[in-house]
Amino acid sequence: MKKYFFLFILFVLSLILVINFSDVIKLGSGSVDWILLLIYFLTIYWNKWYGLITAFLLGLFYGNFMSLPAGFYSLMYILIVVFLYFVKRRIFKKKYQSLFLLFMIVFSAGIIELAFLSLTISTFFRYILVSVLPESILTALTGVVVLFIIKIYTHEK
Amino acid sequence: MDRKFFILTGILIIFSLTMIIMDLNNEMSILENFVLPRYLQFSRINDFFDKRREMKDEVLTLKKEIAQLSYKQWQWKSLKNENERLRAILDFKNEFPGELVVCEVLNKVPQAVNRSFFISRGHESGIEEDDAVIGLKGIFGKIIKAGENNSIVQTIANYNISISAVDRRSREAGILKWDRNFYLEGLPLYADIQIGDTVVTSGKGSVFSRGLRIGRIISVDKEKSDYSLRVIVEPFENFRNPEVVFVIK
Repeated sequence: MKKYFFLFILFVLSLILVINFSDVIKLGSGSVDWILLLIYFLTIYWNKWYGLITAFLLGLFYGNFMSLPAGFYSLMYILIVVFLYFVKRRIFKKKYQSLFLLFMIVFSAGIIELAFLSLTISTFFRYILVSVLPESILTALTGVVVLFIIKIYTHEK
Repeated sequence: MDRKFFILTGILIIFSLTMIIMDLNNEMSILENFVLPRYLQFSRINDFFDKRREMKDEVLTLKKEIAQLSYKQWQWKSLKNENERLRAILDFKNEFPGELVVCEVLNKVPQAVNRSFFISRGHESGIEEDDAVIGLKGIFGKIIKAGENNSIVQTIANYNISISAVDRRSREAGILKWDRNFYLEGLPLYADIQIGDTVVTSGKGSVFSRGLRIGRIISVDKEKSDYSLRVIVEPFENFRNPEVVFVIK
């Protein structure tokens, strides 16, 4: 029960951070993607079921909140969880280098989102530079901090 | 275990796809669904570029409007000037005691040593050689050649000119000549001449009748010989770019 409560807190926290506090820490016009960060760490370090359910629900909420087709984000996050499920055994998850995967996931997700925007080529690449790339870097850097905390926690444990 | 995971994944994927399809069937294009919210997400950068684009368009529109208004203003000013000029010509013609023939100045005579102009009237309007020509402000010159439909006017700004003129205030008489400036010659040292006095024709010559305005005295000095005054007169009339002149009949 305690785990679910903690998961619920993380769930709500990530949503609030993404929707309300994305402007607080910014690099270019990109901010930390707390949802993907949560999905990544849940799936890789905790439980794939939690990752899957959280991805679906977060996609649903996030999409609804943003007046987007909720299914789009749910589908994307679910596919990311499936991808993580396949690669989690092949990475050294205790090493910081593994966070390159997080970087790639955020970057790919950003590009997929941009691909649906009917942008011109120049605008597409501009958004990659000013939004997607900074977002990926910031998320990966935040992942370093989270991994550091996880390592301390597991070590103490 | 894995099988359950994939079954659940499949169910969730189907559920997500169903929601997407439902949304797409909701009479909203995918563009509107994705673009507008993404604009919210990228609001800052989009706002910046949108505002910049809007401002650019606005500036272009305003520039176009300014150009149009400037052109209209220019047209309006031209019409106003034309109107004022024609009114002045009409008033002048009505108020002048003698008979006048209004002539448009066509062009400068290209090879004339002394400044001369073609005008738009000739014999058919009764214009003859040696007729006096005046402008709105003062005397202009005389007809040196009259054709059927046009004539040549030689201005008073030439070396051959010699006009009998008087100071309108003191009636001191002299001869007006031109040598890059207009000089009133033949005035003794004691003559009552003051700067600002108006010089008019005396009527003693054969061309210009009495009382036609010539110019204003701007300088009074002694000649080098010390026997007479050196008086410089600034003409009222513009000899450089005249538009309309009047031939006195």
